[in-house]
Amino acid sequence: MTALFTPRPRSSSLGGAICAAAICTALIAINPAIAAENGPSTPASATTPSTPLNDFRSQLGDVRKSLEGVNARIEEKAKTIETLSKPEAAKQQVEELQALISQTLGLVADNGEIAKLGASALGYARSKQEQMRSDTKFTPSERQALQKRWDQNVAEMVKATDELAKASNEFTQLLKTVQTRGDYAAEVLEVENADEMVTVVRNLAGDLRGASEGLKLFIRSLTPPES
Amino acid sequence: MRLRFARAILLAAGVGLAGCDWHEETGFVEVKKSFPVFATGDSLILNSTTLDLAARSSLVVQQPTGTAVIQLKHGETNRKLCEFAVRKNRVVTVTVMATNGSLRCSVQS
Repeated sequence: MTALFTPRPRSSSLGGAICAAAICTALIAINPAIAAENGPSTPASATTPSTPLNDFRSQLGDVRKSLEGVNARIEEKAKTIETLSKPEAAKQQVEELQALISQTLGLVADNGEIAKLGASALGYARSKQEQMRSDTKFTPSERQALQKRWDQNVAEMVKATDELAKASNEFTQLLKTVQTRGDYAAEVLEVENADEMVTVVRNLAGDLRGASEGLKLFIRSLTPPES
Repeated sequence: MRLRFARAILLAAGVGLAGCDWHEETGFVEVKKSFPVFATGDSLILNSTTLDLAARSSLVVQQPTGTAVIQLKHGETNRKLCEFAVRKNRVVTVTVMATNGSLRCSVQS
């Protein structure tokens, strides 16, 4: 079981203690007994019920925004990399690039939050689809209308989860390219050819621009399912 | 009184969170399946995560850095297929293939 967070090593004792204290405080704060003392609370959104579909839709919108931000930063990195002249700077740029791509890949990885929400939302949509097929409560026309909406919803959910899997695959390939170029550059540096090392990393700019164009197309196609 | 209490909670939580690091070091494992179907009741496990490779031929899973293990689960028994290192912000590709009726791994980092 993976820990939710870890105390920073440099201040493990004090930081950990403060951290633990904060958690206890937070747990007390969300204790229903104490919450009840403060009277009934207003739901965050009275109009939008929390369903797996709504949660996924909202998260997918956030992922889309994050991807747009990452794309801008990838383009920025490509520009910076083209102007490199020193091995130390080249090494640092590759490490920063790996961290940036990893952060994004973490969002769309198959065990990431959005993938889990997607699976849960798809399961929910399929169960509603099944429920409408065996319904006897509504009139035939109502049932047919609801069936049609859920069929459409399931199709959109399948498309969205497939797009996420595609994104996960594309970022994996990009991270592999960057890490392999970085490894090669390190090997070149080890045989004492600093200039060539810089050239190897500068050539990455082309790959990054290609990835950025691919990402733009992908972001356009990543549409959260309609309500 | 309630307002003061709420402020105290927020302050304590803020100070506490400053001592926490919410992100541990992680890398990624790309698991590829190069055989058509699993035998009935078989599944692959990466550390403690069950890999759903029934409908797909590859998955990308984020994992904490360190040693990772892929096992084949058959009923109640687990058999270790391979062990490899997961490094910070890097991808390690593990291809699981069937050779002479049994599964084995090939690791590329």
